[in-house]
Amino acid sequence: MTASRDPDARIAAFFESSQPDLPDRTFNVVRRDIHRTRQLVVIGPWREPTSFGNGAFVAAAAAVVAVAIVLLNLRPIVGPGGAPSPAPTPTVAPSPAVSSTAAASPTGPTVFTSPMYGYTVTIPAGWLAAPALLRWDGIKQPGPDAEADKFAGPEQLTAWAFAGPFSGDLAAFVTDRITANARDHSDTCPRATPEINEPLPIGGQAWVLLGWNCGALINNAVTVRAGVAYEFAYRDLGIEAATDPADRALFQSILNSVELPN
Amino acid sequence: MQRELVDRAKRGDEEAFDALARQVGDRCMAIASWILRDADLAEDAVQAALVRAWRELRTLRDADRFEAWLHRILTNECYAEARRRTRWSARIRLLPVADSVDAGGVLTVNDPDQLERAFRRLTLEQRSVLVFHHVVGLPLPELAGRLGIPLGTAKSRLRLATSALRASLEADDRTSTTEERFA
Repeated sequence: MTASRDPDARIAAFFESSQPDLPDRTFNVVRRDIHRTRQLVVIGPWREPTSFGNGAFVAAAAAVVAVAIVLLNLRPIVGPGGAPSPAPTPTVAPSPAVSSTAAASPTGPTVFTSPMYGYTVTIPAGWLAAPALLRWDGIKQPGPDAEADKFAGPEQLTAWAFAGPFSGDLAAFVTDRITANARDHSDTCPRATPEINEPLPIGGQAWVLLGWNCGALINNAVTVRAGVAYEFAYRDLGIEAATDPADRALFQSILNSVELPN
Repeated sequence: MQRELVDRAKRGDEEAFDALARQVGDRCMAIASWILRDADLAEDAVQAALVRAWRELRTLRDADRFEAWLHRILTNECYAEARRRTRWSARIRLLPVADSVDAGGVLTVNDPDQLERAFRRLTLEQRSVLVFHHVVGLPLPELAGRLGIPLGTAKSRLRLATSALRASLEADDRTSTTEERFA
């Protein structure tokens, strides 16, 4: 064999290997599932924001046409201190009950009640909310994925939240999350410790704000209440810093609206 | 054609969505298979992604971006499947180590094994960047957008992942040279 020794060519060749096709049975299952799955209803027009940077956010956000979204097929409410949820299934199973929805107003903020974790939060006008599909395992550091309630703001802004039983105090949870971040996100966020780690009192409840520059602004607000730990995260892909005044103000306003279950 | 199907599916046309799924299913399966390196999990991820795409289709603003939008959903479903795998580790059917046709004699005898092992050691996020770069053929800026990550992060992941693959080949080359010397 006259093999090239160029490693890049060998790597490129490696990725040319064939992969299996999607079997017919999967198409059939999808066809069956979509027949039983309602599509989300989006009310009102969507307009892309033009820019969101330092200081410009508030003004720009005010210009965003509000979007109202009614989320159907939500899973039943399970309180954050309750028993672990049933094992997840590989498909998104439809649920007939609409236990909680993101109440929506086309012109104003939206109150979202988390079906999985039980808190409520008011998200700014124009943001979209989608509930968590899986219960957080209490170990990993979720991003905006299946275990987290997700809030999609203007193009580069995302927030998410999750919760779960925790036996320690707030300081212990802060340490736990810093460790989890180093373990689960060291490739994208190599700093072992956050650049911001400071108390954040909100409505008589003690929170801690953690700020990271992971090539994008990541802020995490964590708290522990009645044996349940909560984390709200906020990401701005347009900012390469651990903090930004406009982002901080917006995140704070979102956090100020959080009501945790008793 | 695809745009028309998307528009029809957004209006609730299940036949149109089925046709769409059949257009994009194999490509999605290839992506998921590469990211997860497990055929059963890849099937589950594609299935979940397609159902979720149906459910959220009306939030897609530009019908021409359907496949890019679906790939982002698929990537997230792959991550979710991988997490479930850690809890449900009994049902894994591993893909065979690359049984590729040697592309023009570029791969050496040991390359697929070495690269496969190195690839499996990468994080899912690093694998995704490699897959969208090498398999889907996306340039970095588009790749970053499709995965929803900053461009700098995409560059960093690609660099680290490629370095890991190169290192595996170099280690294999050193071993082969030593073996030849002592043969």
